[in-house]
Amino acid sequence: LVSGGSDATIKLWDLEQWSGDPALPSPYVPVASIPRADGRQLDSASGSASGHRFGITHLSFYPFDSAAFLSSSFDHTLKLWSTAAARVSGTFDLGTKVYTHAISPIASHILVACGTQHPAVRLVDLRSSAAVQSLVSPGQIGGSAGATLSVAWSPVHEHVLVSGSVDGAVRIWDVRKSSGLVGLLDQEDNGLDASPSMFSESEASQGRMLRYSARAHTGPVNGLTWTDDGAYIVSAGHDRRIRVWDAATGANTLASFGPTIRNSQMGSLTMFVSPVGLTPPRQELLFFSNEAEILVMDLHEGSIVTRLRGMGPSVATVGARTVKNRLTGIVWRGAGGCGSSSGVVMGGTNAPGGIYSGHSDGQIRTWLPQLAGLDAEDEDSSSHEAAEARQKKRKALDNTFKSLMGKQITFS
Amino acid sequence: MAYIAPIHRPSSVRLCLQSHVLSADEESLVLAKSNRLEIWRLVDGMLAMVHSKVINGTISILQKLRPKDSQTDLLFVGTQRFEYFTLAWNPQTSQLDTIDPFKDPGEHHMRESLSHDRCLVDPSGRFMVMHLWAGILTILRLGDRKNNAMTLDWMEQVRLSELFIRASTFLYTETGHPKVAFLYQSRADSTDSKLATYRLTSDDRNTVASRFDPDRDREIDVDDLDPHATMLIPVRKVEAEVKRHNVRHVESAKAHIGGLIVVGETRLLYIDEQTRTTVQSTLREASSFVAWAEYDVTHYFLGDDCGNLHLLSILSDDVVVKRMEVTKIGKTSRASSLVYLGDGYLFVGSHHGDSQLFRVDLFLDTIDQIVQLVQTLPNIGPIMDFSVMDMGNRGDDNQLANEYSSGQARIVTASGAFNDGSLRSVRSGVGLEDVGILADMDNTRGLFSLKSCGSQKVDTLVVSLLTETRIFRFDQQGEVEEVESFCGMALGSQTLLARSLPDTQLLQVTATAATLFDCESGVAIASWCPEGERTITNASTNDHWLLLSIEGSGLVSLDIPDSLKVIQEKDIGEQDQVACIHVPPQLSDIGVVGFWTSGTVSIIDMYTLQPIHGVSLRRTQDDASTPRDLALAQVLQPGSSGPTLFIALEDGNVVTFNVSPEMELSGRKRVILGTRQARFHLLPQPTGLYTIFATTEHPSLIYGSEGRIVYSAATAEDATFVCLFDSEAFPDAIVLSTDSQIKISLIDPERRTHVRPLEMGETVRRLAYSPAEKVFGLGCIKRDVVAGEEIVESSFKLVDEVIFDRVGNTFKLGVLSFTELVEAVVRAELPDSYGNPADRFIVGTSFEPAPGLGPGSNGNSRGRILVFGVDSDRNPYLIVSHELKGGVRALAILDGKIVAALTKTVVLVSYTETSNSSGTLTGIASCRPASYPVDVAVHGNMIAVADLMKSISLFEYTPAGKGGEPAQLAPRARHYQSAWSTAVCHLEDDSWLETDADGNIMILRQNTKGVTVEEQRRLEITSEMNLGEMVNKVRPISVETSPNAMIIPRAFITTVEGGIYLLGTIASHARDLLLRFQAKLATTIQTAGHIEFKDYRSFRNSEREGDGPFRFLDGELLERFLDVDEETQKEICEGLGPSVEDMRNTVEELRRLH
Repeated sequence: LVSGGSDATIKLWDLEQWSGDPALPSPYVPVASIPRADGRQLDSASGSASGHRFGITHLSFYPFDSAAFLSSSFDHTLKLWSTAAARVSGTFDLGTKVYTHAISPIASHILVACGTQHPAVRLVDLRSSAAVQSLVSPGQIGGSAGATLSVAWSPVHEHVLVSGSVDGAVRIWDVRKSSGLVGLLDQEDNGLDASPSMFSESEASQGRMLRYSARAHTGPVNGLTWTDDGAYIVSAGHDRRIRVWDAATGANTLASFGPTIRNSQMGSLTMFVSPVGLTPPRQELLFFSNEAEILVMDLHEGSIVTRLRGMGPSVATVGARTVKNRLTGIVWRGAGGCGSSSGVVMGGTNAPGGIYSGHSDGQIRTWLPQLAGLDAEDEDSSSHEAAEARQKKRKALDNTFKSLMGKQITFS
Repeated sequence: MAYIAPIHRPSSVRLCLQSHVLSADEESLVLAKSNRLEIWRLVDGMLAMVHSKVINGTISILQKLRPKDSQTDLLFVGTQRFEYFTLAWNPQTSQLDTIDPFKDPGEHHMRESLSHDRCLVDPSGRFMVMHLWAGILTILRLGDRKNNAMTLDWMEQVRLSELFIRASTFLYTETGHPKVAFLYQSRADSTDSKLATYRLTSDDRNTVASRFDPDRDREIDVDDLDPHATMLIPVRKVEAEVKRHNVRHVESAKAHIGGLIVVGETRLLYIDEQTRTTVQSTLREASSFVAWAEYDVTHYFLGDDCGNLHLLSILSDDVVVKRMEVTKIGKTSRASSLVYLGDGYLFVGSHHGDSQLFRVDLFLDTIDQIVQLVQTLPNIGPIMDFSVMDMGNRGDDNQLANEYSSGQARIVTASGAFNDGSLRSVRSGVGLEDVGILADMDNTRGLFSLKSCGSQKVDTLVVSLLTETRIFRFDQQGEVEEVESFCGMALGSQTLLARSLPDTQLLQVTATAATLFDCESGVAIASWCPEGERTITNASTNDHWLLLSIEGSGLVSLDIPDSLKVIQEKDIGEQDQVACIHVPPQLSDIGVVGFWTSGTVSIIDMYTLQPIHGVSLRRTQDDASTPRDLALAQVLQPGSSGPTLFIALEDGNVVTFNVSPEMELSGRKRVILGTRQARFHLLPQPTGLYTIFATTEHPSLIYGSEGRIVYSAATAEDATFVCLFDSEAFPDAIVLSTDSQIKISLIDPERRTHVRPLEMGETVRRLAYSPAEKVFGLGCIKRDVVAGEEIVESSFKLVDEVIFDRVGNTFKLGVLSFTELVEAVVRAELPDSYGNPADRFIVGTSFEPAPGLGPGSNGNSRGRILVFGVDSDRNPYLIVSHELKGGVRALAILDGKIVAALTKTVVLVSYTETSNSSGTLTGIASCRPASYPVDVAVHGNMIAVADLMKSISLFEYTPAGKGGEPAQLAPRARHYQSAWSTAVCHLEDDSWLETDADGNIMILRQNTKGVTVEEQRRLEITSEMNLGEMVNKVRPISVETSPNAMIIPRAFITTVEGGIYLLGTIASHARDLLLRFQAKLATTIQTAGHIEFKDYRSFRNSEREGDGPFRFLDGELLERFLDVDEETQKEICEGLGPSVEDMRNTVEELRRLH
């Protein structure tokens, strides 16, 4: 697990350090820690292990090999790291705040798409170490243009990318095309008027006019993800809506997630869909970081399956500051069963999978599935002595409690 | 480095069908067993196998296709790895030829269809649909034109809106346009069932696939079916006498024959395909049907889950369907598929029990005689558990066991499920069953069987002793009397040879003379004596020739029908001596002679006694091997190979050659049977072939099987002479002499692996063997359906090892308001209340809340551990019952303590017996695997826990210290990968064997020599392979092997498909050679479907896919080396190092391991 803080540090954790017994306290110690870089020794050749200078915005493992990971930061850079050595392998200065980045889980190219404060989506080629391309759509510069807060590559089409920006638009790009833009997701398009398939080679889609004013949300779009089979795009915006789009037609499937959704964070928001094969078809689960809780919802029905709460006090003190305790990121750790979620395969080998969540109080919390069976199942329930001893203990405790708390009634 | 070879090939039948594969006028039964296709033919009311084909893959699909204008069928085969191909029978080569292989790689995000892979072929045999991925239908068709009639054309993959399809079928249509019907449910968790039919194609020429749009393309759309309907039966059309017109007028239409039946658990629905009119009938008794077969248009066989056979009849008025009726007509194994073979024969292919052939007569009045069992094809799968017992040195734990192939080790498996549950005793080799002991006699020098005058069968036994010859006569009842004289034979000296000749004559050869007697009168007709003082030292004969060796220096050939006329005499002279002679029984006019000094063997012409061909047996100058016995006979099927010459050498080797019609010798092979020379005894078989009984210290039966020569151990350790004695009272018997006795025995017809069943009628879930008590302890689960309700009961039983039958009372398990299931049974030697060791059976159970009865089940199961003793009446009695808060999943013994794997903890429990019938269990330490433990294995103080999802982890037990430190189970190492493990076992040193649910076998080694603690904590894979079958149980064995053995047997592995495998490790000196040999074989040997060996055997689970077997040898492939012709063998051995002959010997040696 790699974690990045708003204090610009990055820490690497070995999740296998845990014994597997939930009764034991967690022994996690970071295996590597990359401190914040000093402003003065900026990117000099000697300081190759230098970290970011400002807060980390997004982290991702290289999808084919966990030996490398990427980080982006408010310090205008995207950095490529070697996991084992915890050293920088490459730095890309994009000249503007990088909110998020994404790398395709399937593609043969190694393009990193970066969502920045600048409206254009920047593509960085790790192979040539150059920012090769900017994806700009007509009408995006000037006008209502805003920062791009989220990007996500398609898990089935290697050149297809979606980006969500502050103006509420979700744009679909094909990075091979000169203009780039393929379409926009339109919240008013419910798919009823038979729109042609977006990725089919048919003439109709080539000649289809784009409606540049189409908006996916009425507020900034800061969360985007695909289902593993590439059939659906999920978007979340500041308008407190999560929308599920049919990726083939671009139609809004009108899934409704109700009024529980909270989303106000300026910056990318993490959510993911459970891997294909884990649930029956069309019953995928959406994991959404909803301010102070993780919501697990049915992707298509919108119903809440469970809420993961219990993150300590709602206000936490970090250093000298007092912050509202909210989620800053969630990641999925597969159990290695059927299907693996997109990206690097990392089965939880000492645990039956789990979710790791980062919080603004500076803690990382682990959520594990509860296994059937009692924790103390080896105890002999039929033994009389054990039962008697337990009863005796309870009685003594009860007496102590009563003597302390109970009001003595006296009659004068 | 590991080696795996099959002891018992998978026997469970998953798929079968009837098809015109071989020829247009013969229908054959085609069976798919794991990785083999078998073609069977019905001859005289019995099934006989015609052909068997190995496929590099686990067969998941079997269908037949009929190309346009063809008279025979193509077989379509699909494997679990989405490889597909068509096969056609080639009558010229008698082989199945691969026509059209292809692969469906799928996409990683495609979801496999919820049930098994499904494949349908339309009634014309040219359109095919496959249902491999949820919501996707793959449509294929055979070409229309002559040049592409055999090729499958991939039409399209269509998306279906019906995601949860329970059953599907093609319909019989009038128009010729294929139509397909789906029985589906709308959501994964709902129990509704609906039916939809579609036309497969949308155009008139059937070239464009339909879109399968539920709104536009659906033809029949029926809701509200029986919620548990799982079967569709298409019904053929019948021409009505009065043609029906105006079918659009639906209201008044009647349901005609021609449509489909939806079979539910409680009701049947008939739908007319054309008018969509329905007829519904309710069943008298609810059953869950699993298989069907068509008898005729109005009668169908249905098999249900409990193994009942039903008959579904459509009652009709001319062609108008009135109602349907289901009657129970018999009991079968639980069918995985039914095939009606015609002529009243019904085949039941079964995975859960034996496959069966029934004779059916539907029009008998007595219900219980409608089906009669005719033949059983045994199946030992699914093997739940097994145990290995050694007949050779039983009762002694420390002694090393015998090799499996010796016939001394016996594997007892718990096979079959529910009603088909049984125990099966599996052992190798040829069993000899003693019928009787004739006499105690020392130093027999020869045995011969004769016919007395006028007798059809053999009735006289000649026993040749050093100084005399004794004769025993048998009457028809088997009574024996010794006779003083027989046809004038000379009884005062040793008989070298005695033989009955066709025309009531009898030949006797003694050291002094060869004499021909007339049986009737006992008069010597002709006689021949060597000149002077010389004696006859060796004689061999067939019906025509007698070949004699005179004191090793002279050869004489005599013509028997011509009154022992000497045809040729030859003096070898000084330069060499005759060691052995042989006259082949089948080939005329030739003989075989082996020579002492030169160590050569020559084939000679009987007329001239001149050698035709010779061969030297010595490979090097100082090799002193001399031939001591010879046999030349047709052992293999004459079509595939000529006769084989066997030469027994003095040092226990047996060398074989193929003999061509020109008497040329080729294909030299060498096999070691013992340390002293083998003596060959030819045993003619009714098929015209010969088997050879070779007596040495490990007697072997040599016979042909599957086109090669098999040396199988026979269970007659001390046999010296053998002769066939096919008499009236003892048909097909043999007479066998040992150093002290003469016995009459029967050779088991089943030679290779004997399986002896003991029907239990319930699932034998677990099995443990107690050598001290000489019993097996069985944990059984019985399932009954009483008044439509399923009742499950567990019990603990004992079975005697020798008589192989139940002994003692049954101990019923069960607690109030729960269903108690047996999960584990082990045997342990534990101290009794006096401190003496006693054999105990430990049983672990879990309680599942009975439906509707259990107190608010919160998903937490409970369980208990029971300890049983066996009393003097061989009844099990309970000593302790210890309840736990978790179910017991597996048990093992560590140094007198019990290791119990509970629902999610592994605990170590000590056992103390306080009296004869009471004791206590005390927990000592516990540990936690990642999710749920599945199996545990113990070696020393190490416990390996196989986790449900997370592969294995090792825990070390540290006993309580003197300073008061508590005992603990500390994690030592784990395998950092995901694997849905099924079994674990210790292999050697730091190596452990693990198997998983994807059919992979892994060998994991703890890196104890690792530099860092981190490295030592890791288990690394040293070998891995995909077996293609799920392994249920692994048991370690320790076998004494010779120091230069290449393979050291380590464990037996049993699978769900009924396969038993031997797993061994490879000695370091053989590794490189065998691995390179396997790599060369894999590229040279082609199998059906052209599926590469490395694709077949590569590790595969949902996370990772290997690119070939990793440091793993597949014995089945290596042994196929012997099947290929010599040219190919040469090609394979090129550049390998050893010669072709050495390689052949190596492989033969590997074969003899199992």
